[in-house]
Amino acid sequence: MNTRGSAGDNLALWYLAYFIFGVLFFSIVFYWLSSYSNGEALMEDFYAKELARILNAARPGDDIYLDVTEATALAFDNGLAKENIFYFDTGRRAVEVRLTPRSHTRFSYFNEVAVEEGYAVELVSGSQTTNRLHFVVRAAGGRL
Amino acid sequence: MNRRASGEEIALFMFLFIMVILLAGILAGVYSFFNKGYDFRLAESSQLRAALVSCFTREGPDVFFATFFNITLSCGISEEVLLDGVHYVRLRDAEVRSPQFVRGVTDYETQCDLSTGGARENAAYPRCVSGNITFKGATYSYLVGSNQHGRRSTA
Repeated sequence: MNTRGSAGDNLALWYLAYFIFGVLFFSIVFYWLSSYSNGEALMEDFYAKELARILNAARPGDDIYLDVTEATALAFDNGLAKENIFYFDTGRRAVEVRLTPRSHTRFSYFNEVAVEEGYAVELVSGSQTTNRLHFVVRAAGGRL
Repeated sequence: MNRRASGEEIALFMFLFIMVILLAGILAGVYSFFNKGYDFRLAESSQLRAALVSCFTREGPDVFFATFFNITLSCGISEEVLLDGVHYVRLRDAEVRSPQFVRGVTDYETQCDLSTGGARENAAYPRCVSGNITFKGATYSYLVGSNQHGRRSTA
């Protein structure tokens, strides 16, 4: 049987396989890289640690305003509502920052304080470009 | 059946091999640029040290080293967080090394030395602060360490 030319017949299939593998590979890599290139991963990390630093030094009764404009800009671009960006897990002494719907960053603080319910991202009066997180610190359950 | 790989199969293997090399290069580049992030460990250790020393000088060694001592109630420092596997606190008499107050990962006693060990310096080890407090004529030594990087998780 004459089989010459069979490799050439399959060449298009092999090119198609390479193309599919290549597209799949680079799609996954660029999807993963996008959260870094947009700065979401870094910003989540930064704000979670800054909030933990503030809470570690806070005393019950402190009324705190933190400029979160950069974080909210990224979160709003990703379709998040302002209520879903920051979360204080007072039971476990942790702060969570979410700037994408698919991930969040969590950081613990050691100070035995909690954050009053009703904390919110506010638009500063008179400014269209500045957002701030407002929260009030209270004593946690276990503290005398 | 003895079947030798065809040219196309070898080429596919080479293609996948190159993809893996590319992926490893991209991962290494991203991690070398971003992964250090914002290193908060030393700042956290300093904050914890300040809270610990302040509490010790307020409560005194008799209370601090008592068996019933509760650091959460007396100092406002969450014991649950100290025991989360990435923190360490140790305070003791500098001379006789006893009694002592210890919470957290005791292996940080060694790792804290290694983290500032010059040529042996390793970013994976905790960042620590240590020193002495003089209280009513006696000297007490402390060591506080943190290796908390924060946790990024999906959904």
